[in-house]
Amino acid sequence: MQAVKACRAENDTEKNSADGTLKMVSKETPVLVVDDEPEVASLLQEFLEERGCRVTTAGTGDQGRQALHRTPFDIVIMDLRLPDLDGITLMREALKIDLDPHPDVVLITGNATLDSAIAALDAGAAGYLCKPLDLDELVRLVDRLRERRMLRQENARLQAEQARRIWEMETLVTIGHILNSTVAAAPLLRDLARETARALRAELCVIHLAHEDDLAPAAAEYADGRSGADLWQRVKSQPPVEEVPVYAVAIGGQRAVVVGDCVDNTQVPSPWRAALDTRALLVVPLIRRREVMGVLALHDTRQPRHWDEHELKLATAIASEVALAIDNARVYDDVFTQQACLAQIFDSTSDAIVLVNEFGQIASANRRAGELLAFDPATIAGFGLLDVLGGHYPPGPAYERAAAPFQALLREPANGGHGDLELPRTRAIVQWTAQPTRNATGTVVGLTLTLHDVTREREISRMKSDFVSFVSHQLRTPLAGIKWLLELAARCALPEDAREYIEDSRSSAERLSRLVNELLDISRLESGTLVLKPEPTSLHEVTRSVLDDLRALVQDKGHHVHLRGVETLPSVVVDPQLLRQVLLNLISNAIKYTPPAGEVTIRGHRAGGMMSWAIQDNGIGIPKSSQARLFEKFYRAENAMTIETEGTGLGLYLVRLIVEQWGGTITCDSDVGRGSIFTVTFPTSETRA
Amino acid sequence: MSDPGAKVLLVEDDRFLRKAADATLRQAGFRVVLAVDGEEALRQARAEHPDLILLDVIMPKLQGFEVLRELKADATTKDIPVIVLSNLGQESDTTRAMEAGAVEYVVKASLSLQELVKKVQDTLSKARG
Repeated sequence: MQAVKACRAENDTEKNSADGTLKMVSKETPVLVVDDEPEVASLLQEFLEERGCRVTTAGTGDQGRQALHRTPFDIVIMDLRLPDLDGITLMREALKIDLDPHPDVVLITGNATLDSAIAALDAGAAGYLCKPLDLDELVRLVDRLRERRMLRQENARLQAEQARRIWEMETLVTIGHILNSTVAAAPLLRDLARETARALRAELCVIHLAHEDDLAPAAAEYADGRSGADLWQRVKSQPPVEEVPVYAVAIGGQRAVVVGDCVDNTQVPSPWRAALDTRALLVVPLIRRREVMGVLALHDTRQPRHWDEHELKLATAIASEVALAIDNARVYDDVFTQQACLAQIFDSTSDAIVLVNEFGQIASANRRAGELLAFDPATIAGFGLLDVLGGHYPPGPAYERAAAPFQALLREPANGGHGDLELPRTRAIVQWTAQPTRNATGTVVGLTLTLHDVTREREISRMKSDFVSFVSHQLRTPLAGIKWLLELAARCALPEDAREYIEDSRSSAERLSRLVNELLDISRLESGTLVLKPEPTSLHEVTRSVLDDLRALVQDKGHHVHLRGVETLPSVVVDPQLLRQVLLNLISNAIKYTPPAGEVTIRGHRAGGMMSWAIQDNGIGIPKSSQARLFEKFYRAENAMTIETEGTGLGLYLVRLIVEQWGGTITCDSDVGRGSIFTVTFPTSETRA
Repeated sequence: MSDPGAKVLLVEDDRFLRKAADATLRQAGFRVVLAVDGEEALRQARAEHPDLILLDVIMPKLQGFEVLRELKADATTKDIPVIVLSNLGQESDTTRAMEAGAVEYVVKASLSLQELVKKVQDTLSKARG
């Protein structure tokens, strides 16, 4: 604040002179003529008054001295030789008078010698004239002096203006420093109130802030740094400012309002005024984005006050800074709340999140990460990710295996990655996903690592797999016994009816066997334990072999089966057993759900890397209402039971699981009574084999 | 009857399966030696020197994979081709059997006796070169 004070003091003197200047420009130039020769004096008076000067004459040095002390003159024209006084002496006296700027003195000399002229100029004369007077020269000299004075005065005015601006800017900078130094609202507002009162030389400053529909007191401070505690109490005891007309005008008009003297002023009702003993008041609304956020008021108690235009401008500028600061503080507050909210979400999510910086150090980790990786999330920051992993393994191949994908990621984080990880210390199995963390400009600055705990899922999956193996052994062993013994029995010499019963039993056993196989396949596909065995496979051969298996069924029904494009299909790399399952299910469905002597067409088509397979029949079709659920587990179309009661509702579900496992799709297009087309599409790579 | 007189060791703990397979293999002209658990299987393999072993996986006393490991570790039995008969059929089991030295892994419930005989014949003719 020292700089501001110093500047203000300087400003005061500059302003006074500036005010003087303003008068001079608008009025006649005051000129004093001192000459003992009345004719010369009156000649000069007449001549100069014609040229816009106000001339005072003096016949003696003493009269001239009195005139000089009485009123200020811009120009003094004096005879060098006066009866009572030496002209040079009088001139020196004229220049000593406390005036800024000093008058310009022109000396008139009778015996023009170079010496006397030089002496006059040395003593501070602005010029000299010789007798007999050359009036033209006089005019030129006076005009030149008037012009010089005007320039000098204009210059002084500009300097004053500049000094004032510097002062204003310094005030705003001081306030700006306060604004930047803290974003916590309450101390900020108190500092602002005090500095604003100081900058505008008011006794105290009160800030009210809009809060919903009211204006609530937010800060009240004295300029001189006295404790504002008592002031604050009094401000709080005041009636609401919204009810004070001067505030209403300032808020409604969104402009500063001045009351130079509050006494007997209806704008400032007495009951309100009494609390602070307000005498002079300046109310400035705090406006941000055309919205009044509050009001800043400067109070003086001692005497009425005149606020000049510059002070109003400065007050408005400060108010706009204050409004900005309050807005920023609110934004900060919002951000802070949001951050707290995000931190809570961060900590309460069931997945572990670890933020790793570009140097591989953990920048932040949530609570769950601490649980899974066995560390305290509060103190983990700065530790290396690989070191934390290292805590889970003894040095050696187990650690190398676990760390390798993360080492690669830290070298090349831009593409992210994912994988499984076992954490021996916490006995957890996690699925991890790493995404590059980017800054605002899109540069990768680290990794965001998410760990999803799959320990329980893996355990369930393992239990399921154990169950599958139990079922397959326990169900299949007696089933195999039935099948093999029936096969043996069928070879015996038997009466015709017994042979028929045995063949029927074999069919039932086969059906049971298929059902168990389907259940096992589904169980494995669902649990993800089925391992694909892709190998070069001739699609044509698989189709042929499926049709061979179904030949008896086709003949029973008297269907015609057509192959279109299947013969020309290349070999592809696919799991032949699963492909067989898909085709067997779709083709046997087409055969079963088509009335006798129907048409079944199998079309194979390959385009790009996609294989497409369509099985078309002209059978009973599938109602639209059933189509959406057709590929669900155990679902059977509404009209399927009427034809075939043996279906399990597993076939199409299994087909869907297999095709999806390959990354393909299956669709159905069907009309009741007209038939169905099932289309399987899946990506595959061709092989020359 | 492409290989009459070849000796097959059938290791199977389920008596119905054992009975059916035994009868079929005999009808096909093979000489059949039986074992009902893992320990007996090893004993019979060492005593009888069969041309081929049909080996069940889940058995009392000694599991099929253990038997297979011991057969392959024993110089007198390591060259006998072994077909693993199982009902497990999981990929991991197949891989385990093949890695342990089995020539074939079959799921019994998915195989007819006729197919079983064909597998035995094929394996024996392959072993003869």
